[in-house]
Amino acid sequence: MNLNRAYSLVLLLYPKEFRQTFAAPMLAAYQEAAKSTHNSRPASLRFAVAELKGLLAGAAVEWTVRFSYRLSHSGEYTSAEGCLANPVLMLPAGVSRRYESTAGAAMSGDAGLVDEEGFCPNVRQLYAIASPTRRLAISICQGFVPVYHQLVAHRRS
Amino acid sequence: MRHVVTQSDAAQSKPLSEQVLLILVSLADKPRHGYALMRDIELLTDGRVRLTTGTLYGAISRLVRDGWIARFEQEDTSRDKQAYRLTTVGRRQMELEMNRMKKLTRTVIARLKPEEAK
Repeated sequence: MNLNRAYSLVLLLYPKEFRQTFAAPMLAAYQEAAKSTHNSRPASLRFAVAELKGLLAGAAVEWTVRFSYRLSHSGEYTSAEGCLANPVLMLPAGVSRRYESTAGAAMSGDAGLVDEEGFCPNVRQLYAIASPTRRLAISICQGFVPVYHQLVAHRRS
Repeated sequence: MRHVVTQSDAAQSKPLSEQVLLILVSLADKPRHGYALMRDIELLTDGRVRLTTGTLYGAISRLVRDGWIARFEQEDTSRDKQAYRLTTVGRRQMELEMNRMKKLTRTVIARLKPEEAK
C-alpha cells in the first residue's frame, strides 16, 4: 500500500462534511509536501509519522467540535420531539450570556432590544418575559410530551 | 440596533494561537493554497514551525467558518488546490493581536530595563 492510499484511508476518520470540503486539497498538499522529503529515507519516515499524528489529532478535534456544535445548536438541547425549544438550556449562536439576561430590563424598555425592525428577543428572553400562563404551558409541554411518547410506546409494546 | 455579539467580537479578547497567527500572517500579502501556506510558515519561522496537513486544514476550516479567511476563486485553480485569502475581519484580528503583542513587548522591555541598568 503506498503512502497516498494510506493517507486517504486515514482521512476517512474525519467527519463526512469536513472530508467533502477538505479531503482533496489535503491530499494534494500532502503529496506536494511528501515530494520535498523524498531525498532521504529518515526524513520521509519522520514526515509520514508527523502527518499521521497530525491527521489523528485533527480528526479527534473535528469530531469534538462537531459534537459540541450539535449539543448547542440542534434538537438535542430542545425538548423531546421538538415541541418547544428548551429555554433553559438553549443558547442561541452569536448571543452572549450577558445579553441573555437582559430580558427583564427589556420589559422596562432600557435594554436596547427594541430597534427599528421591532422587538427581537431570543428564546430564553421570550421565556423570561412570558406571562405565567404561557410559562406554565411551556413547562407542561416540555414535561408532558416525553412522558406521553413513553406511554404510547409502552402501550404499543 | 440589535445586540448580537459576533464570534469575531467575542474572540477579540483572546490571544490567537501561534498557528492561527502564522496562517493569518502568511495570507496577509497574497492568497495562498495549502502547500504554499505550509512552506511560507516554515520560512517565516526559520523552520521552527512545520504544520502538518491535519493541523493546517483543521485551522483553515475554523478560520473559514469564523469569516477570518475566505476561499479565493481563481480561474485556473483546480479543486485540489483551493487558495484562501485574508478577509477584513481576519486582518482586523491580526492587527488586534499585533497590538496585544506590542503592548506585552513594551511591558517586558520596561521591566527588563532596571535589570540592565544594574
